Amino acid sequence: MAAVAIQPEDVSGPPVGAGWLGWLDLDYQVRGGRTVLVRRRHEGPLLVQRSFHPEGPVCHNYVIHPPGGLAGGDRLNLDVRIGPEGHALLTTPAAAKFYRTERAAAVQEQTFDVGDGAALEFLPMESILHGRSDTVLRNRFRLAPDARLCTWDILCLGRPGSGDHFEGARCRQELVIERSGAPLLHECLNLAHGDPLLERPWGLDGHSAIATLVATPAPDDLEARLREALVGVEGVRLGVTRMNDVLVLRCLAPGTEVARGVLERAWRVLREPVLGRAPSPPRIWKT
Amino acid sequence: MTMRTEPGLARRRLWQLMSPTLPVGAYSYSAGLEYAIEAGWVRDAGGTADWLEGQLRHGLARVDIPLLARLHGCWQRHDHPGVERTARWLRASRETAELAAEDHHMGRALARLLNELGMPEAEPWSAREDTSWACMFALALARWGIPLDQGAEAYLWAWCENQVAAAIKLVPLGQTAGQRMLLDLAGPVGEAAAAGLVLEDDAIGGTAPGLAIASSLHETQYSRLFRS
Repeated sequence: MAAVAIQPEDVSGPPVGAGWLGWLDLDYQVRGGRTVLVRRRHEGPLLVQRSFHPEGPVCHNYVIHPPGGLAGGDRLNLDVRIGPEGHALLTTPAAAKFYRTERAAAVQEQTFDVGDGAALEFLPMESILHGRSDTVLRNRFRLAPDARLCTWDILCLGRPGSGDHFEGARCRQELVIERSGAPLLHECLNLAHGDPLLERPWGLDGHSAIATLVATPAPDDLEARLREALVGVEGVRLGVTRMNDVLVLRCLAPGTEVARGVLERAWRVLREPVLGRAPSPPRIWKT
Repeated sequence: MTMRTEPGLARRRLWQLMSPTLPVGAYSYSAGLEYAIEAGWVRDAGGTADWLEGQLRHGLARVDIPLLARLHGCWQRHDHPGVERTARWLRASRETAELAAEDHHMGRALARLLNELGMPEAEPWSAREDTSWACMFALALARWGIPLDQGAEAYLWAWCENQVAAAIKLVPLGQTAGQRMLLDLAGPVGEAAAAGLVLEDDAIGGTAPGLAIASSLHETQYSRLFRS
């Protein structure tokens, strides 16, 4: 378990708006047979600490947002580049929380450029959308022709166990995956408290957690393998499909624990066929 | 090559374009409805109407109509790179293999038909990967001089007719119940068209997660009447 210490550079990023700005920029390159974080720049409370190489070549990092939550006008930007043949796995140690706001929306924008022959796994903890929050979440993945990707997202509408039922809240979530500049997948979800979407069978049907996993390039039999591996999960609504070579798994669940369990199981099945490596869960997942 | 069409003729061209007798195979698809009925998520006329209205508001009004409008503009300006870019965007916005295949097959069928009806620029689209129903529908609107707002409503109306026809077989419902549902969908169709036509670029996009899951599950449904 080698850790690579690198010096962070503080530089001025985009202009600060009404709220907090957190900005983190990460560059990965292959050096001496393994992927290393060659540069990180950040501003405000968004950072990574050390790198881990539990499986040798692959660089594992935890993206940390010490305040833990965003309110109106706050903006978090994450920009990640992985150079040719690199392989990075990014996760987060805690849920991202979006709090009530009377002002502008909180915006989280995450952009990933994955180079030729490179692989990215971006597997964060869930985002919790509290009552009266107003949130825009944008994830964009720009893939080179031979790049590989697995990413997921879990949204939790309120904290139903604590009496927070997403009252007065709204969220727009966008996911764009491009390969060689052309869009492969463009998915948007528009959530607003009171919209029939939250309660009806064509929408969330009353489920408080919604999860999506995408992986590309997906070999032909991957949907069948995933469906088989996920038989018997109780209390969820689950669909697996593909758009060309992008596998898409969607899951509605009664809570984030269950959703997360489904995604982790799916990831274990697909890591070898999609990313060419046996599953090696980040240490932090075991805690 | 944009024709100036006399308004009466343009209107009659639209009737032809939106007719259920147009040979594009629209009747073969249920877009997830078959699974939803099998699973008991949709049980009756009320549930069907709600299922369709949800998709009108979250899917068609936020994806199909604004992209149909952009495709129409590109075809009018003979902006072929713009057509291709928008066609790929639309294709990337389909939620499942089944919904993409339906859109692709109908688009290719319409491309072949338009070519045979004297619109040779449709011909290459009968073999392209990024062909879609909206892309060819927009070409027909542009070349036949059909106003976009009428074309957008017709696009949604034709979709509703197909879905209601599928529901009549699957729920099942009587013909009169189907007609009553269409009568009630006329309002939401108008609202969805109007909302979709004014959407800005960065507001485009929407999905109905339950529909996407139903369509995914329909792909492996054991016994079914409709194509996947």
